[in-house]
Amino acid sequence: MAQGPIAIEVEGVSKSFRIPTRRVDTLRERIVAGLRPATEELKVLDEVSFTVPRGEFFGIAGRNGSGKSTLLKIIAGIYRADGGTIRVGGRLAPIIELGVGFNNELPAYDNVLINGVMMGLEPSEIRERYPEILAFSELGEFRHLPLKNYSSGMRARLGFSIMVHVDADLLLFDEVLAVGDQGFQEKCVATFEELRETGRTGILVTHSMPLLRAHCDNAMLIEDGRVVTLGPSAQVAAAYEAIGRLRMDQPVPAGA
Amino acid sequence: MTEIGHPEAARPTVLRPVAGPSAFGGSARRFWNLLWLTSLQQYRLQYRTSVLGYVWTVLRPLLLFAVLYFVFTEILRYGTTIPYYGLMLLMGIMLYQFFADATGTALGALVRGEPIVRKMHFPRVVIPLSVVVSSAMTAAVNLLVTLAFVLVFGGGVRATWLLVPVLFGLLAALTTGVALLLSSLFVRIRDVGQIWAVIARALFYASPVLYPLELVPGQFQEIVALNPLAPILAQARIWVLDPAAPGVIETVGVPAFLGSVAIGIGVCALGLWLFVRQAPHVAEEL
Repeated sequence: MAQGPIAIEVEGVSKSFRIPTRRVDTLRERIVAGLRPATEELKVLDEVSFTVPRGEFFGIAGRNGSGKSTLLKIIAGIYRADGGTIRVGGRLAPIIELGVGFNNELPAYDNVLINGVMMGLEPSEIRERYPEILAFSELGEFRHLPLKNYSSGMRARLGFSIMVHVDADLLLFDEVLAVGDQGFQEKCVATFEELRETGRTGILVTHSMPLLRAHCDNAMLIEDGRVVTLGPSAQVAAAYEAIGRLRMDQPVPAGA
Repeated sequence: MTEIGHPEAARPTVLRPVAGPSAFGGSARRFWNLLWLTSLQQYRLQYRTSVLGYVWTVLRPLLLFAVLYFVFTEILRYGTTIPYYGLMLLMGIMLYQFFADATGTALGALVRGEPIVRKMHFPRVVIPLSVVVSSAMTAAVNLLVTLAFVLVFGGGVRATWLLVPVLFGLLAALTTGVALLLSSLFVRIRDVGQIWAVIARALFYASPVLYPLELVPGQFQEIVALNPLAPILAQARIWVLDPAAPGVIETVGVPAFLGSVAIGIGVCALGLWLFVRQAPHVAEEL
């Protein structure tokens, strides 16, 4: 496979959470538990490494709790890795979920403005792009309604529309297609193609293997924080489906 | 379909390490834009669903003032010998209310902001800071109303009014320090919410709002003056209302005044230190 310059490089990233054996929130609990409340280390990511060339979409598959979202949060700079390095080329969108920071009481414009600023644009740039963002979201007739009157699909539309209009070079998507009607999903999928063609790089966390096969060049499967399969998306999708079938025959492990 | 973004040639290829979460990190432009917009948004949303809207900004402290003024002058017969007692009380309430509102709201701000904190990379300090800024907008309006009252009922315009922003700045700095301290403590120890409610109430009575500093009995004077709010309130009275009122240092002496300044600076430093230290992993602790 012809590889362009690297856009995202993740090398040996590990992350553990200290999980209190009993949650200590109040002073009384703290005093009762002593100064060092009992905690146990939970290794969520263990030496995860991969690179994504520019203009590619990279898929991450794995069961719930396998560490996908934690990895995305570390790449976005929301969590700090315990070890390893992450380097990126270009502007990274700072959010991992569509519609983060939306305010329910405010209408579309105010939310686009604040969301755009969160993504690093100047207010003037956002004002300029607002008509385009609104048109792309196809929510024009609802623009005066506060967001609390939007359905989750409508919120996702607006969020997605902002996300693709803020000039981020590197985009992180955690289950973007989970909400939204078919029209929106088709639009997302068409947009992925356009983003790739204009040299944008993306990481797509998904449980949808058809999506992974169709829109990711390469992918990886993580299990208990470890990379178990890394390679072309078809191969990873097959591996994911295989563990899915395997699990179907077994009782679900506790806490999964 | 709409054309999205700039051409491929413009995309940078130099790799740089991802900056982890922090209190202040990232571009300064984004920081200010974010702070300004979130502050403005909070200010605008405050009374959005109420009938009187922004009127409450001014009405709430005015009503509180009316109650206290009535109780203290009509029932307790206090303040009759103090020049401009009513105006002093009004100004004190406006200034104290800023401190109390901002710190009380900032306390739970990180915890309330959990959905954003856990899903977006941004300078964490914007969260408590925007609470202080939006409260300061309210306070600025209230101070203008206070000045209007002073114009009507007091000694008229004074050149020293121009110095009021200095005091307001000091009050805002102190408020910010406390806001940072409380918001980071509250993440780990939820009791801080109850504790602060009591302390904030106590501070109201321990500040020269209802009484001037010089009328505090001698043995308590220095203790009251150690409260960092005290010199600010006392000086505001001199500059806004009554140049003849006794100065802080004159009343309590240099050591108590310096003690108050030291406590103020200490609280701000502690708040900033704690917040900066906690910011990188606050998203994991919520």
